[in-house]
Amino acid sequence: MREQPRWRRYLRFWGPDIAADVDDELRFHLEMRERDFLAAGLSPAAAREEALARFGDPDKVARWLRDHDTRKLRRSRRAQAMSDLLQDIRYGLRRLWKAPGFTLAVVLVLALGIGATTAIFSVIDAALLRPLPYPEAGRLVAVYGPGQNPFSFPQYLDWKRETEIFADLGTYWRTTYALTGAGEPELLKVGQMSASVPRMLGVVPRVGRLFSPAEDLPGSERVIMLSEGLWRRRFGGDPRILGRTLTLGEQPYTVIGIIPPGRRSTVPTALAAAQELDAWTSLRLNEKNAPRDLQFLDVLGRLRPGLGLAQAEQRTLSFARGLKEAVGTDQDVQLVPLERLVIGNARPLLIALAGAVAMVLLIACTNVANLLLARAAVRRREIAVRAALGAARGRLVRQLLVESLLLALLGGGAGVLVAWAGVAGLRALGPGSVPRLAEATVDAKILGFALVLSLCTGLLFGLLPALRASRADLGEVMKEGARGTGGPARERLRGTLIVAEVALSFALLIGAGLLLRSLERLLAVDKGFDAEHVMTSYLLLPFNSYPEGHRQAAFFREVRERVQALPGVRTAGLVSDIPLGGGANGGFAIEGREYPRGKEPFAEKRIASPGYFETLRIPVLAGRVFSERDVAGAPPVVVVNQALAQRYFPGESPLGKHVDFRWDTKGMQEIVGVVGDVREQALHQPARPAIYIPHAQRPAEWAYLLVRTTGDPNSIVPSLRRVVAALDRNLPLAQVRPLEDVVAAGLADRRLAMALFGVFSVLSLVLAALGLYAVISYMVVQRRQEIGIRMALGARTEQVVRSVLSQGMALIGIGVIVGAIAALWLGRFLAGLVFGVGTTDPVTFGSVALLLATTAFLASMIPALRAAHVDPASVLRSE
Amino acid sequence: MGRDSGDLLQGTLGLLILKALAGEERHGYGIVRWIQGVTGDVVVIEEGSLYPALRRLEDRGFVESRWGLSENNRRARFYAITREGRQHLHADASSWMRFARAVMCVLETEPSVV
Repeated sequence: MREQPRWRRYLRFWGPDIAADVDDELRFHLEMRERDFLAAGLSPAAAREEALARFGDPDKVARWLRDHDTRKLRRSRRAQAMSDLLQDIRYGLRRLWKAPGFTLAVVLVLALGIGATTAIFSVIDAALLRPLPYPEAGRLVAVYGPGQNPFSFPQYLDWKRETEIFADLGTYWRTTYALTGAGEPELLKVGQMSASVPRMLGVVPRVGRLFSPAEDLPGSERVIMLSEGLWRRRFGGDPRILGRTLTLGEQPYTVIGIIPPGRRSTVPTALAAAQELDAWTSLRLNEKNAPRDLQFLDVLGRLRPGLGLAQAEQRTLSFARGLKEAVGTDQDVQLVPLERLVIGNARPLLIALAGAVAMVLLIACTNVANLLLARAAVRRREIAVRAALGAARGRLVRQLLVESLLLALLGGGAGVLVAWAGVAGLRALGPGSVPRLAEATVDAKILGFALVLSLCTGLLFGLLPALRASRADLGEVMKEGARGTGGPARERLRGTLIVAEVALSFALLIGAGLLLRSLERLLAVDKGFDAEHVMTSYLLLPFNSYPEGHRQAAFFREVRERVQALPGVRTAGLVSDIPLGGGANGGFAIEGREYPRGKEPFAEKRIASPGYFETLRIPVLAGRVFSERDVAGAPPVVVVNQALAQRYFPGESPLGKHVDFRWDTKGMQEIVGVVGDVREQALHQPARPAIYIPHAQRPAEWAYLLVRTTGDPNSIVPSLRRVVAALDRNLPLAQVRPLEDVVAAGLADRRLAMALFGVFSVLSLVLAALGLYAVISYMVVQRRQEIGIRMALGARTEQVVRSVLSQGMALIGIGVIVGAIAALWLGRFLAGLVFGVGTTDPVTFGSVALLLATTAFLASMIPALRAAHVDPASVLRSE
Repeated sequence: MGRDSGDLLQGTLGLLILKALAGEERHGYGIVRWIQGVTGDVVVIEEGSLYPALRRLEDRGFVESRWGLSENNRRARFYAITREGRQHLHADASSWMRFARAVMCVLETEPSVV
């Protein structure tokens, strides 16, 4: 045993020094024994030797004792900490139970904050964080042809030969086919794909099999896989469906399998939300039915293992160079990781929502912190007394923190319910632009998130009040006496919290205001047509029954004339693509003008019938629109819109000029009319130049039928179906919906963003108002005595009210200024969502400031009026 | 602990310690000295093994310890018997006595071996 230095004794200040104690004890024993032997007459050396002999090995004993004591100390410390914690929890629960109003208020505020945040997180998790549900989704890329265009079939074959970039390459396109034969004809959404596509997506058929590579070839048997939904709906889930022959687009298809429902059965598209298809068929393309100038194929590739995107892009460049030498035209392709494609344009919306909900949570925290501060002020005496009686400050802080964490956990628990309801609500609203929304659920990960969030929240709102309260000094508290005020530092802290709340609330309200103004602007946009009382539907003629253009034209003319004659129909018209949904576009030619390659005039191209412009009430600005005389054989004509006239015929009349529509047309057509601009792409996109050609002169096998009715457009639908069935009983009438629904669908995402921002900002406004009310009321209670004296000295009521109000309004003023600065900076995150207003729109800022100021005024007015009713006599007596 | 103390039956050391503390609290060396005094140096324990035995008794709640000053003003650790310790001592001592008496009976039968 070594001699311990004396300084080690001071270590005992922090706890027992086990090594020193053990040494002391054993050394004491040996020395006493030695002394007894000396007294018995042994020599010093013999005494020491004999003492050691009697003892055994002191080092070994000491080691055993040290180990034992250390273990024991550790155990007892753990037990102590645990029992302290349990005691704190019991104590905290009892205190919360005794103040049910306070507890309920805090839990409610936290439940809203944590619940909203958790709900938004689960949406973001589904959209951004979770990997796509495909095997090795990270290696899947969408491949775009030159200029972001789809591929042509020969182009796809060129790239299929490439071996250094893609481990697998597949192609697909979407089309519609009429399913006929059994029951009502129905237009199906069909994905036509190479065998490699389901393979890459990792689809396992529910029953049956996937396509084989041989079925990609044009000579092979026509085979089809049905979606589970179609199988159940149309065939009652018939287990003997495999091998049955269905008629699609007048062709026989053999059923080979059922696609399982759910995530893997969707084909990713450039659309943010992958749309469920009714059926899949095999590719069966060749260079005859799909020539090089027909670009319509989406291409999906799986990168070779270990190949990074940048590297892959490098290799596509060199392969494209080789192709260009062989084929001639530009062959550059673009690789877009599937994940990025699916997230698409939703990122700004999700980021804005995340920011908004974080602000709500912060406001909730601020509010709760304020409530805790107010409560701590009431408890100051109790805490000061406990501190004076010897409670350690750490213990007091912990006690208060435990209480905050309990509140946070209660709030989090209630918040999970809020989140669960919120996610269900969001999924029910189901906006198209939030990808994978259907996958959003409250699962274990989300619950974990809520738990961590609750604990962090508890620390956030609990730490400051706890530290502050535990600093209470008994002498000071007792001196303050019955008034129990908090001192200037406390006032400042509470004021700061109110300023923060108002500022956050201001920023949120600005967001909601900007989105509201955008929506208002969008609704006020001149679409260029009148959607009210218009019914739309879609007809697709099968090629076999209507192979020639004149038969297609004759059928559609017949449909139009019969519908036109129906009672309740004002006008009817046909068009190749309805407004707001996009459609065909491309280059056209103007007689007598030459344009360099790539700079040709560009226009939206629509095939329309007489009655189309009248039905949509598109104004005729010059000349005429189509009439029944514009038939095959008559002089070919077109109508253009105002945008085209201004762009390509500035300062002159386009009437009488000749252009070529350039879409299965021969020769030139004369411009006979100019019509108003229609927003063909989307509400927020200004109209582009557009050309309309008569259906009779350029027939097509499909058309949208537009009917303007005298009454409710839905009431005309049965008559429409009868008209179509009378002409061809195998022809389904598809996509039947009022045009107003089409308009509304285009606004759904913005409505959702606006609704969420609206809910969040109203929530924040209410919380801020409550916080302000609480703080001002508290100030009034504290100033009771001062107010009483003032009134005794002759102050008038309005002077008292003004003095209280000015305190509140000062806080609001600072809050609004800070909030405005924050909103100016945060506005950039909303830039992608606003329309028609700047993110610094002074009207929005002004009205939000006014709204906040009014709310704050009302919230301060109640306590101010109460202050004015202070009875000076009773105040002075109570001193 | 160290060399197996063949002088003492298993568990007997604890019994002796408790008995030593039954009258008054003592430090470790005091316990050794008391046992030797009572037995006239017949029972010799390996003194180092005393301390682990004390710790075990303390873990079982039969004794408790505190730091104090020895008769010659040195810092020493004193051990005292607890209520549980007394109960245990009572039970243990009784069974030990029964056992010892039984052994005596056996040994005193004829022919004498002593």
